[in-house]
Amino acid sequence: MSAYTSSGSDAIWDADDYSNLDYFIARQITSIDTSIPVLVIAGSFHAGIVNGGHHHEVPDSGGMHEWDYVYFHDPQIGPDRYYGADDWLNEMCSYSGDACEQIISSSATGGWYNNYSTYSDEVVVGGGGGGRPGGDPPAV
Amino acid sequence: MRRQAVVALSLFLVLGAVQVARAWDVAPCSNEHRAAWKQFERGLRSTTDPQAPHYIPHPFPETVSAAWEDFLFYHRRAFAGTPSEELRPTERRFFEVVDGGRAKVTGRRVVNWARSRCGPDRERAFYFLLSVVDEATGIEITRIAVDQSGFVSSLIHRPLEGEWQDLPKPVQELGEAEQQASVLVRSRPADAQYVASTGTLRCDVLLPCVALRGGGRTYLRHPERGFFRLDSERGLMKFTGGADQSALRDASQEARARNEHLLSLNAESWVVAVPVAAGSKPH
Repeated sequence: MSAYTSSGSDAIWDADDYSNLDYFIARQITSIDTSIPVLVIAGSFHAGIVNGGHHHEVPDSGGMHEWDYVYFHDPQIGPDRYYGADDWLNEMCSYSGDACEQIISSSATGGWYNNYSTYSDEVVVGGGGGGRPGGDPPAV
Repeated sequence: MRRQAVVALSLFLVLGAVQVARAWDVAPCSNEHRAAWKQFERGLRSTTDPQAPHYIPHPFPETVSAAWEDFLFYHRRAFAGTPSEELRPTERRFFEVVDGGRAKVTGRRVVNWARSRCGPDRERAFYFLLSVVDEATGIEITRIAVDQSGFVSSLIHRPLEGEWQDLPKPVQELGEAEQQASVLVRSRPADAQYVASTGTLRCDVLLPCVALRGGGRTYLRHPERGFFRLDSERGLMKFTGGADQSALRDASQEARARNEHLLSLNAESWVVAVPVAAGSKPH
């Protein structure tokens, strides 16, 4: 992590709970957007590196973006593993009690709240979204 | 459209590999969230506009071919605007194999005992584990987990080069696991099924374990760590809510200190997994 951070010492342990999942994700995406990878502790028992993802613009949506995949380097399974966005939230921040945890560069996440405020209403979580914060479940 | 027609004509799909035996659970879901699960299912089934973000062609697929079509729809839509030369090499190879009619797809049904099971949004009772083999080489190029709802859960492409040359180990055959278990525990475990779980023992969705029952006990065959007995006689543990996080970690450390593991059974239920030594008696 120090190789990727400006000072070599600005990596922090970032922990939040499920109720603040969207803030937590905004910090993660902001770091990745500045090409600084994030070490994620997935569901308390598994760790790996996130360094990218994929999204696409939903046609005829007026600029809505669907967040499709996260790229996770998994020490058990292999590099560039894809998670569907909704399952990534599930993997990382179980709603059954875990804190969401990541080791992240504080300097790389400086603009997270601005990004969240600016873009969060324009993002739909791919993979079903299933009733999560920002998940925009299918209309009934 | 032409591309899709080529795929439809040339795709070699193996349909017979899915397990149809009745799935079983150690810790079934409560009824707490069933209304929300139904609402999600109704919403998905009523989404008929292919342009809608949450549209998939076969909501809650029942066959391997339907799960594969759901995956391909989601995956193609994700990369539809990406020029071929900008795709990752593994992604480009995937589309070349599929569009070239060289994809042989097989599938298995895996019961989900991970913490995503029984959640407030969806049940996630099981998923389809799909394997894509390039018929030209006979090599598995991609492994995909498609959730019960039809949405992609996770996938990995085989790297083209470098240190990581292979996908995770091949998924073990159920009959093979039953045979190994019968020798090991001197009973006749049956009802083998694939399961995914988490904890200090990880049965990944892309590399699941095999669970078996026999002699009134439940066993687990981990692909790398061998056999375990699920010690439900000691009682299932429940950890719910943020306040239980430290208790969960304490329990996992205590299990490890005894050379045992903590294994999830659903969103809140956990069990201790005890290593099984060769020749163990079933009772």
